[in-house]
Formats: sequence, C-alpha cells, structure tokens
Amino acid sequence: MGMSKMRPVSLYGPSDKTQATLRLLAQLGTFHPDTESVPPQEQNLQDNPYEPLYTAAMSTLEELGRGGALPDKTEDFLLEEVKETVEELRGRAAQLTKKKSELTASIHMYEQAAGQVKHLFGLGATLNELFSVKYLKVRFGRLPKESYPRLAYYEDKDFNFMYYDFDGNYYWGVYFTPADEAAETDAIFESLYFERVWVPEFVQGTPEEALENIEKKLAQLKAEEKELESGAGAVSGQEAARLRLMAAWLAENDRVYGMRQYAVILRTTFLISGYVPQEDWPALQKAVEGLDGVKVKAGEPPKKSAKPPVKLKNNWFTRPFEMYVSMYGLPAYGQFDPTNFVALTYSLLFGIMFGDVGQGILLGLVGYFFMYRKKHLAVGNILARCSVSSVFFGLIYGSVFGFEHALAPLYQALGMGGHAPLSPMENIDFVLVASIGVGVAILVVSILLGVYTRLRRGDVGGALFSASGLAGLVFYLSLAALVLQMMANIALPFVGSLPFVLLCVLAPGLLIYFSEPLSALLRGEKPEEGFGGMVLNGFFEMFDALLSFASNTMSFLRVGGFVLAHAGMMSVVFTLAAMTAQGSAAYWLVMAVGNVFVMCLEGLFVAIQVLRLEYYEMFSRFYEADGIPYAPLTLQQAPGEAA
Amino acid sequence: MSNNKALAIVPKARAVFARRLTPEKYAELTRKSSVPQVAKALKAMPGFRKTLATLSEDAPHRGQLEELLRSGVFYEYEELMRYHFGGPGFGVYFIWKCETEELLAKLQLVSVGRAERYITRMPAFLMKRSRFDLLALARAETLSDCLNVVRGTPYFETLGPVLSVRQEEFDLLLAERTLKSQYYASVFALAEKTLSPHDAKEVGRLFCMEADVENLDVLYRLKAYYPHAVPPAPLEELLLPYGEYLSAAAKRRLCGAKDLPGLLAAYADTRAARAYGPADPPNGTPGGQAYLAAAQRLLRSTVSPDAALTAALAIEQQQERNIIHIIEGVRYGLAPEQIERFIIY
Repeated sequence: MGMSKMRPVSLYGPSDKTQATLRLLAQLGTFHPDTESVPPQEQNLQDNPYEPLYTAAMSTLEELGRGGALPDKTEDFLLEEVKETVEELRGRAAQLTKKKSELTASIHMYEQAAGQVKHLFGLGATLNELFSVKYLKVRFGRLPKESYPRLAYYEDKDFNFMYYDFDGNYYWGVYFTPADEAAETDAIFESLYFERVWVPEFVQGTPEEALENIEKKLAQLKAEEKELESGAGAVSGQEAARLRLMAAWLAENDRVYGMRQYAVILRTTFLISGYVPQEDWPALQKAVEGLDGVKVKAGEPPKKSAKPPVKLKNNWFTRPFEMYVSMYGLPAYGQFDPTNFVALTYSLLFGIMFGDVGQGILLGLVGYFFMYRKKHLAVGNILARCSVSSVFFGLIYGSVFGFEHALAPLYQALGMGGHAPLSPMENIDFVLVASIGVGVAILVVSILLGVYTRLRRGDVGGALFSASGLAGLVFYLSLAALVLQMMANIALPFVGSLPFVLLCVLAPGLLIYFSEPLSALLRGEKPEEGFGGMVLNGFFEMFDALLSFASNTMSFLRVGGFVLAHAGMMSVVFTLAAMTAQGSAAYWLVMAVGNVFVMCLEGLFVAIQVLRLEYYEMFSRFYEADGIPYAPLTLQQAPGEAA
Repeated sequence: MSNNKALAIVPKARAVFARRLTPEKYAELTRKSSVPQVAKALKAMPGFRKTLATLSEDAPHRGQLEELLRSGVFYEYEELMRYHFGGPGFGVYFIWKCETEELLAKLQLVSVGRAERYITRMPAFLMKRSRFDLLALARAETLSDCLNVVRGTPYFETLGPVLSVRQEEFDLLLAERTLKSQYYASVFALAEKTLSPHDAKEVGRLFCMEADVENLDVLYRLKAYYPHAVPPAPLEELLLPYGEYLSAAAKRRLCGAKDLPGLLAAYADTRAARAYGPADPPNGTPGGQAYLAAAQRLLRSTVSPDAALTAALAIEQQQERNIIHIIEGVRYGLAPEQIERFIIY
C-alpha cells in the first residue's frame, strides 16, 4: 500500500520528566500522539509557567522597539534566570512607555497650540500686551460661519469682533469688550455658538513669534520621541539579543508544554501513547535511553478498530500527487491509497487536453525549475510529470508550439505519409466521442476500484448492490452499450435483446433500487424502513444513480472540448501573427507571446478541470477519505497542526 | 411646460432619496442617551458630515443642531437648483416656504413678547435669497415693524389686515392661516404657470396632502388641548381651504366635534381616514406616512425635474423632522420605542 506502516508506542516515566520527554519527541519529529483513544487532557495545560513569560517577553521587546521574528535556534536557559531577566527588562520598558506617553501628550498640546496660533496671524500685537489690558476683556475663539451674518444685529452693542482667518467653516478671531459688559457680550457670543480658545501660557509674543517658538519646541520633542521609539538608552543591543533568545526558548517550551494535553499525568508518573512510522522506531528507542527513568514500549500492529494516522508513501514519480489526495482527504489506515491512480489518470488527461510538444517541454522545465525548485510550489513538480504526457500527445497531434507541420518530416520518416496520427481540428467528432470513451473507461476502472475498496472495508453489500458496486457496473455498461448501439447504428450481439434487458438492465437496476435493505440483510440485520419507505428511498437512489451516471459520463466531454480549445486558441495566435510580415521580428514576438499566453491560460484551466474530474467523477465512485493525517509533534508547530 | 433643460435634477433628486437615513440608522439614534451622543453619531454619517461641520462635538447646542439640519435641507435644495437651467421656475416655491416659516416664527415670538429672540434662529442661509430683509425682521419689535419689513412683497397686502391691530388683539392662528393660504395659493398658481398640466396635477396632489396633514394637525391640537377655545364656524375659517382627501363637508364635521374622542369618531368616517389610516393619538396625527409615501412614489416614477425636486425636498424635510423628534425624545429621556412612534419613514 502507499502508506508507511505505523507502530503503536507508549512512553511512561516519572512525572517530572514529562517536559523533557515531550521535548525529545518534538525534536525527533516522528511521534504522532494518539488522540482517538486518549482525549485531550486539558487539565494538564494549567499552571503553564512559559506562556505568561513568553507574552511578557514579546510585549517587552515591542515596547523597546525590538520586535520582529524570533531566531530559529536558541540556547538552553533556566526558567528562574529567564524570569528575572524578563521582569527586569519589563520594568525598564514600562518606564520607557510612560515617558513616551508623556511626550506624546506634550506634542499633542503643542500641535494644538500651533494650530490655534496660526489663526491669529495678522493680530499686529503681542499676546502679552492684549492680555494685560486693564479695561478691556479679550476673547479668542472661532465663530461658525452660519452665525457670522448675525453679528450685524448687534452693531449697537459694545464689542468689536475681528477675524484673522476663515477656514471654510469657522471665522477665527478675537472680540474685545469693556470689562463691565463682558458678561453680556459673552452671553451674546455664546448664543452665536462662539467657541472660546484658551491660549496656553507658553504662547508668548506676537502670534508669529509664538509659532516659531512652538515649532522649535515641537521639533525638540519629536526628536526625543524618535529616540525613545528606537529604545536606545533603555536597553543595550546585547541585552535585547539575549531577551530575543530567551523569548525563542520560551516559545519553544510553551509549545512543548502544550503537548501535555496528549499525556496522562498522574501525581508521580506520566504516560503518553501514539504512533511512529516503523522505520523511525529504532531512532526513538535509542533516543529515549538518554532519559533517566523513562521507558518506551512498542505495541502490536494496529487492529482494524484502531485508527492510526496515515502517512502516504509513494515512489518518486507519483509522490507529488499526494498533494491532491491530501487536499481531498487521506484514506483510512490500511485502505486503498489512490495516489498512483491519480498520478496515472491526471497525467493522462492533462496530456490529452494539453497536447503540444514544445509547450509540454517548456511547461515541464518551468514547472520543475522555476515553480518547484525556486518558488517551492509543489504543483510545479506535478506539472513536470504531466509534461511527459503532454509531449506524448503533442506527438500524436503533431503540434509543436502550435505549428502543426513541424513534425511532418518525422511522420514521413515513420511511413505515415507526413501526417500526424490525429489532427484534432480535422477530427472533431472523433475527439469528442473518444473523450466520452475515455470517460467511460475511467469510470469503469473507478467502479471496479470501488468494489475492491468496499470489499476490503468489509462492506460486501455495497460492493455488490450499490450504484458504485458490481450491480452499478453491469447496469452502467449495459446502458452504455445500448446507447452505443443506437448512436453508432451498429448491431452488437446480445445487446438490446430481451434477455439482455432483463439480465443486464432490469436485474441490476432492481438490485440498485433495493441496495440498502439488501445490504442490511447481508449483514444479518433487519431493514430499518417498511416497504413503503424502501420503495420511496429506492426511487430516489435510482434517480440519483441514473443522473450521476449520465452527468459523470458527459463530464468527460470537457476533455475533448479542451483539446479543441487548445487548437482553436493556437489558430487565433496564428491569425494574429499572420497580420505581421512572415518571419519578421514582430511575427515571432506575436508567436512567443501567444504561446506563453495559451500555455498559462490553458495550463491553469486544464489543471483545474482535470482535478475536478478526479474529485467529482472518480473519487465519488470509490474513495472515502476518512483517514487521520499523520501529524507528529515538532518544535515548530503548535500542537494539533498537521505536518 | 416642464423645464427639460433641468432633467439632470431627476437622477440627482433620486440620489438624495438614496442617501436618506434607514430605519436601522434611526433606531441607532433613538438608542442614544444624550443629545451630544446623537450629534456625534450624526456627524459620523457621511450624509451629515458637511452639514454639521461647525457643530461642536464636545458640547453641541441643541438649537445649533436643529438650525444646521434646516440649513442642510436648504443647501440640498441649492445643490439641486444648480441643475435647473433657464431660471428658477417652480423651484422658487421652496424660498416662499422658508419665508413663510420665518414670518410665522417671528410673529409667534412677537405674540409672546419675545421678539428679540428671533435673531438666534435667523437663518443666515436665507439672507441673500429672501424677498425681505431678515435682519430687519430680527430687529422688528412690534407687529407694525413686522409689516414694514414685508413692504414691497406679496406678504404686505395679505398681512396688512392681520397685523394692523393692537398687540393684545393679534390673532396668531389667523395670521398662520393667512400666510399659509397665501403660500398654497401662490404655489398652485406657480404650478399652473410653469408646469405642464400633468406635472401640475402630480405636484398639486402632494401639496394638497400636505395641507390635509396641516389641517388635521390643527384640528387635533385644538380638540385635544383647547376643545372649547374656538367654536366650529371660526375654526373652519382657520383651516386651509385646500386638501386632497379632506373635503369641505368633512372639515365641517370635524370642526363640529365637541372634543378629541368626538373628533376621532368623526374622522374615522371620512375618506381621509381610508387614505391616511386611523388616527392613533399617541403616535401623532395621521397622514404623515401617506404623505411621505406619496412623495417617494412621485420621486421614483416622475420624469419631471420640478416634481422630482418637490418630492425630494418633502422627503428631506421629513427626515429633518424625524431627527428633531429624536433629539427632543432623547433630551427628555423617552424610551426608544416611544420616540420611534413619531418617526415617519
């Protein structure tokens, strides 16, 4: 099978060795904890000494302006030492934060004062002079534009309003009033919604002078702020680096501490069970010998009822296709791994739909060297494999970067009269019918796989009676034969005769119709529903089966469609290139750009469409993805995350 | 005779409608616990940000907020009128409406001896558009001062008999009826002169419904709080002589009701009750909802710029009234459900 054999193991020892044991398992990165038989022990996660310190360390680093990614490798520390260091630096960071907020408040105050003072330009007097006047009251502020026209109503009153600035909404200015009429004047302006602006004491001299002083002060404050942001002075570079190492150590230990949920921890002992791949068992055994008092035992090979994790293991060619299987879901342990099937069918269909020698080679090179090796995109590796099939079918279609006569000498030499074996645009009907044929063949294989996998799972009823079982296979093939006979107008022996209809259509049809109750009887159980329920359910089952046979088959028409689309798109490129002078630089430019465009667009569509066929048309026939992914404990991942 | 040069007003007016407050927004406002909170919430809404730019967030004055909301409607009117090429046309009715409201506000203050308070609500936005001097109106202290202010305008002749009396004989209700009747008469005459017959009919219907709502409001207030203050015949004279669903005979019957229950019983039997729905005292007088719905329907269906303008302004003014209800409700500590009963949308 395409998966690693798993060995159940158990480790136990004194409870004070739990952290060290878990750390060792995480460092090895091969141990998958058993969460099926042992539910997560959340109570073990209490009193985590690492997490609060880690949070404190990270926030301290942020406050000191030394945040960012932590180093990958760290040293070994003692918890007490880390605690002392974090607390000391935290105190320094708190002082720094306090200074910063005081500075921010000052900056805000000076900025506001600057904004207010700007509105007073043109006053023509110093603010000190104004405020020292004995018999007049002076009020600075702003008047809403809606109220300004109303001032004319009060022209007989003893005040004078002068504005120095209008910002579109407010008239910024000042009014003067005799001291003994200030109350009445203030009331008038209040009724006009005048907002007083209190000039801070540090604003001295004329507005222009005051602004200059304020701006100098602001510059000074902002420079201080910048220095504080960098954290310089609060902590040295060495101290910051050490704190970062400690934070990384805390993060690691915090993750390890989180793994305690997989262990059963009693007062004096702990126990943790799980699985390791068979090939990694000796390394685990050897590593545990280094832990005092901790023992490890391997169990018997897992039974059917157990649910070991699944780690796919395939050969070099098919391994990249594990990504597609994992995306859908892994098979249960011991069950059929569809990776090889996906590799073959995916490559085949991709090649059929993307058949071109030149584009196939280019796709392979770009996929492998650029996407996979440089950008670490796993799909690049898949495309590299599909390119082989693309090149093959490119030879069948006779297409090299869209040039359909480039291989004529080859065909001539092979005695094929200079013509490609199959030219899609000249054999449209054949291409479409053949794609249906390919679809039927793939579906038949999928159903056979379905029978096999059901039998392996012990679902004999499903293997025999279901729409994706033997009954379904016979039914489907019979219907296909009938359709073929009708459409091709040929007489197939036995097909269409009364015994054929009874044996190959009606009988399997009835078996599908009553597959649920028949399966129940086969299991020795009584069917759950009454006769009426069986008939009704069977109707819907049958309807669904017919519909899915039809739709799954027709779905493969897209294979032929994309073959023709590819040829069609290349003909468009040639048409555009023909608008330039044959053989000129422009011609080759159009050809190059056109080919790249078709490759990218068609490559993307074909990759997605074939994957769709895999998931919807094929997997639905035989594949149940109920496996548990292999997720060993590691130092880099949070507990529970799959590798 | 509709102004096809102003067709751009139609989509603009519909855009105004699209920006109106939703029921959810109203509900959010009713749940505020103070006027400053309402002010802050309104300022944060895109449709009010510019209008309320000069409203203080720390200590907003309620009067200022209401004044700014009124100015917002007027600026919306001016924005729409910018697309009314070829003269103001029917759109000038809105200026007349504002003038009528200002005159009434001043006369109300004069009647209670508070003439000097008018300056606090005098709309700066109207100063350049009004046909009389608003500043002079603010300075007017007596009825004859007010009459002098409107000399040279159509109001002089109409208000002459009403304002040429002693202060203690001044009948504010009569003045209100006179001014509003003149307003409606002018509007209908203007519609006939500037609009096509079809548009004039559409727009006229809206104004008649508005007159119905005003009449029902007067009747309700008088019968609820001053049932014996005005006898039926004089009361009938005080009502506007226009209406869509309230006929002259129906008005006569309503005026004859002895008190509020009598009024409600008589109302239930009228065509207006079928059109506007039943009267429900705690929720104010009926008709507002139907009037707003009619304005919305007109705005959606019309292709006439003037009709679209009229409908859009009616909707905007309703929104303004809704917000003022909310402000008052929040100020007096009413529960959100109580406030929501006065909101029409």
